Amino acid sequence: MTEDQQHTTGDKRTTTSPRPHRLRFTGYVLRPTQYAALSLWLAPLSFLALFYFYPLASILGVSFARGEQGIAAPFIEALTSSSMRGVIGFTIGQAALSTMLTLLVGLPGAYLLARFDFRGKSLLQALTAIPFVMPTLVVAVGFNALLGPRGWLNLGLMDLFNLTAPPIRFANTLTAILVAHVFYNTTIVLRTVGDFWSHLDPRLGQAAQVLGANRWQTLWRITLPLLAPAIAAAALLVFIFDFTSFGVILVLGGPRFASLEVEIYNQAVGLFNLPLAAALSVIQLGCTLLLTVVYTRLARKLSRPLSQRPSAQTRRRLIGWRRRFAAAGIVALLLVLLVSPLAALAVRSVTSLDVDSNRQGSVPSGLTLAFYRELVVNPRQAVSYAPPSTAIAISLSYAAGTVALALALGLPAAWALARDSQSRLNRLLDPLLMLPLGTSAVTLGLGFIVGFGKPLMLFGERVDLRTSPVLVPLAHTLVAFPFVVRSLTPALRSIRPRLRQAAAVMGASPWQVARRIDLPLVGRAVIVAATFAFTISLGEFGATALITRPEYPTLSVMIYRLLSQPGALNYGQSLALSTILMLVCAAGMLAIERMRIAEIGEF
Amino acid sequence: MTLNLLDIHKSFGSTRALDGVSFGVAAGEIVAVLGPSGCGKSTLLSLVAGLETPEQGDILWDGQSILSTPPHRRGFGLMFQDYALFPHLNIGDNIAFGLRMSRLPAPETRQRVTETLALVGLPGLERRDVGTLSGGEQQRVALARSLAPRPRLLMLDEPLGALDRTLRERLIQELNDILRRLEQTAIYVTHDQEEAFTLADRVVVMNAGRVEQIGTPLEIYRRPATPFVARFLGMSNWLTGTAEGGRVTTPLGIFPIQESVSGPVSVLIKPDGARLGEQSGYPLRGKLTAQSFRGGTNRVTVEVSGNMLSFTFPSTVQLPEAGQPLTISLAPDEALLVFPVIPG
Repeated sequence: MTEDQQHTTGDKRTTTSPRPHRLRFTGYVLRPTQYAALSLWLAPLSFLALFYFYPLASILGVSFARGEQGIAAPFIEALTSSSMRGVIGFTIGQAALSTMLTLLVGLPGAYLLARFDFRGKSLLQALTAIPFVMPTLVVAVGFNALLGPRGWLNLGLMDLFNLTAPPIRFANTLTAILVAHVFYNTTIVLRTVGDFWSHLDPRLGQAAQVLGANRWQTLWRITLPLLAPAIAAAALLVFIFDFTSFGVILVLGGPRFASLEVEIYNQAVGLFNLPLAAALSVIQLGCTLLLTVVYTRLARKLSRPLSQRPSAQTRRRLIGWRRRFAAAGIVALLLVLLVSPLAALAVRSVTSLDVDSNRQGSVPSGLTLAFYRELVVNPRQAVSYAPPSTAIAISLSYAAGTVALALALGLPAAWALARDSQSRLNRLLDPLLMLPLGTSAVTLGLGFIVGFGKPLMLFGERVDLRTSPVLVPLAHTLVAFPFVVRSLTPALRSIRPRLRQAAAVMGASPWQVARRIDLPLVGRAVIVAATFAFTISLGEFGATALITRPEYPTLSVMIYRLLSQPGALNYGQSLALSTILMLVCAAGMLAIERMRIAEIGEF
Repeated sequence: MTLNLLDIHKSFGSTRALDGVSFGVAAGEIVAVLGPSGCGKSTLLSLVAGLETPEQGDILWDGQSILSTPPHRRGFGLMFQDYALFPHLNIGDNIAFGLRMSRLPAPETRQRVTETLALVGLPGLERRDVGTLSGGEQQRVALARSLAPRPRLLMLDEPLGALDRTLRERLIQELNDILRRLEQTAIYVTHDQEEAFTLADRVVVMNAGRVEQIGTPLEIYRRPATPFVARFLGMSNWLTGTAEGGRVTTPLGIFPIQESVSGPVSVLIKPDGARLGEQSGYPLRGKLTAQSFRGGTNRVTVEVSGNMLSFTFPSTVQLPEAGQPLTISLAPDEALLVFPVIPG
């Protein structure tokens, strides 16, 4: 009897699996079939379809259908009226300027952090990471507390020179917008370019020097060309964020400046001109989607290995007074720019101001917790009035909902991506997941208003989301989703099959493999992703401003309300709330920093 | 000497990378710096190239200190351990880089790139991407890049370290031919004695930031100056003994020595210092315990009065079976080296 006959006459299973012992080891790392991958994609994709594509399609529908003078009327208005053209021009111009300034500030810092070791470096890194998760409103209020008409600088100057009016006009200027944008996005440059730079083989530069290139020639011909993809990716991401910036322009720009994002909000909420708002959204969406596509292309190029070395090998100590002096200058600039507005905010929120009767201004008269106490007071004992502190509870519950939802959807998506990044399905779906990142929050909010403005028929049930408080965490999940997926995927991918196989060979059962290998590696990433979702939800303003129910204000909506009401007490309360929000978000970011497994983030 | 290193000291934090290193390189000479990893060899090259500055000591070129000359004005070439080819430039532009830095006119640059590529055996590959090269080809491109500007001094940092054995043996020969044809002054850093002995006019053996011995390959192999050098060259037959009046007393007997030392000594019996059978010299009787075939030679372990000694014999020599008695003869002036034992 030949071996072949033995197989065919023997147990049926031996014919289908000639080497059953191998299957035992690989049983739980099944080759990803399209079927299995699709089942992982099911929940995230349905979510995106229902809460991303459907609302966006609704916007498209409104912009085309509701125009009274024909289908294209809102677009014609948006593109031909001089005020709208001004808005578009301003949006692009301020974004380009902000991006350039951000690179100017960020690149020296990226170099310093990438190539040198010095005392306090990890603290500096943690501090510079904070603005990234800072809610826009907190940033705006922070700059206001530092440079606004009632800010520290003006108070100080007025006191010093006996002035009757604030000498520095910062609020409602283009400068304010630009500075806030630089504050916001420098982290992106520090991270994206700095990470890449720190892995760049320093011997490439040394090789150039030995071949006769001086410092500038080395920078120009070797370092910058090698960094180009990283710089371009960072610049694009910064540009996208500046292009869709909302809170900063609304609060710091004042009525004089309107970007597309602010104009969409004004048209939708102030003037109820939904067709024009929708048309503007479509224009903005087109731009950001284009930029996002370019960004994902570049980001993929970044992951191409390019004679990289472990960053520990590329770092040096700061030696020589000129280097130290330059380093100190960069650190000082970063600290002043990134820390001072937040510090000003915190200090200002506990400072009581006395009206100076001799002059128009006021002078600081000591420390007080009055603004914080006022947060829980209902001054008129009105039944319908909610004291500002209720916003804290509301925001926390929304954030908890966002974390749960974002993880429930992000984990399967990240798992599917990590299993096989080369499969055609994943290469198609990966950029799709990043789309919400390039979609402005106000557009998302507008989509929710338009899409869920009337009850939906889902599975034969009448679902009215318009009045449901669930809408806010749903929107927040959309915003947080790309961050969650991006935090989880590398960790899941880092569990190479080899590790599992090694554990299995050493006698670990599948359950033990999950407990001892998968969980420790993924657990931290899950915490990082959850923290991202949590802080994003807490600070989200653009979408929330449009869809929140007036009786359920979130922290950022409450801050905006207090800010737009006159009076020192309201201003003080907005400072107090902003400080609370800032502390929570900063704590979250510091936690992320501590959790960060080496090289884990792709942002 | 064209290049002179004088009493170079360099440390990184608390580790002393170089601790008083001095040697010279004459024009047209190839000097190999040989030592285990971490002995300071690569640091030495960084200092000569100007990428690092020594804390103490001086580096002279034709009698002039070059310490204050920045790396791009020294006119030296350095070939890095894993080549550091510029990934964003093609092969031609990599090789032309140094020429463009010295503002050589474009036609001559092109000419020189073509010549240099032909010299390293890769003619016509100017437009290829460096990412498509094999390890051996990268090595040749890196060599071409450092040779193209015609450096006054070429430094090579373990240039063959990343390659497999057969390729290494072929390339070392080619490298030797190229450097000799150009009469290139060069410093060659390696941890591989074969590379150093094949290529170098003189070898500087280093250990823990210090120079242990300087000499021609033959001098170093014949008379290792320190126990470290002997051990690094793979010599392992050590005995303890006492020297007095031109003789050394060891557990294996009393032998005449040339060194004028007295007191406790370490005695090294060189592996190629013995002949089979009872011939002229000092016979030792023992038992053959193991032998291994190494191509042209046999490595044999012999137990003599409880001491395990290993020797190499040409593989043409007929050996008894393992376990059988064996007699060998030592030629004392060839086979024995005596090092005074340094107290502590």
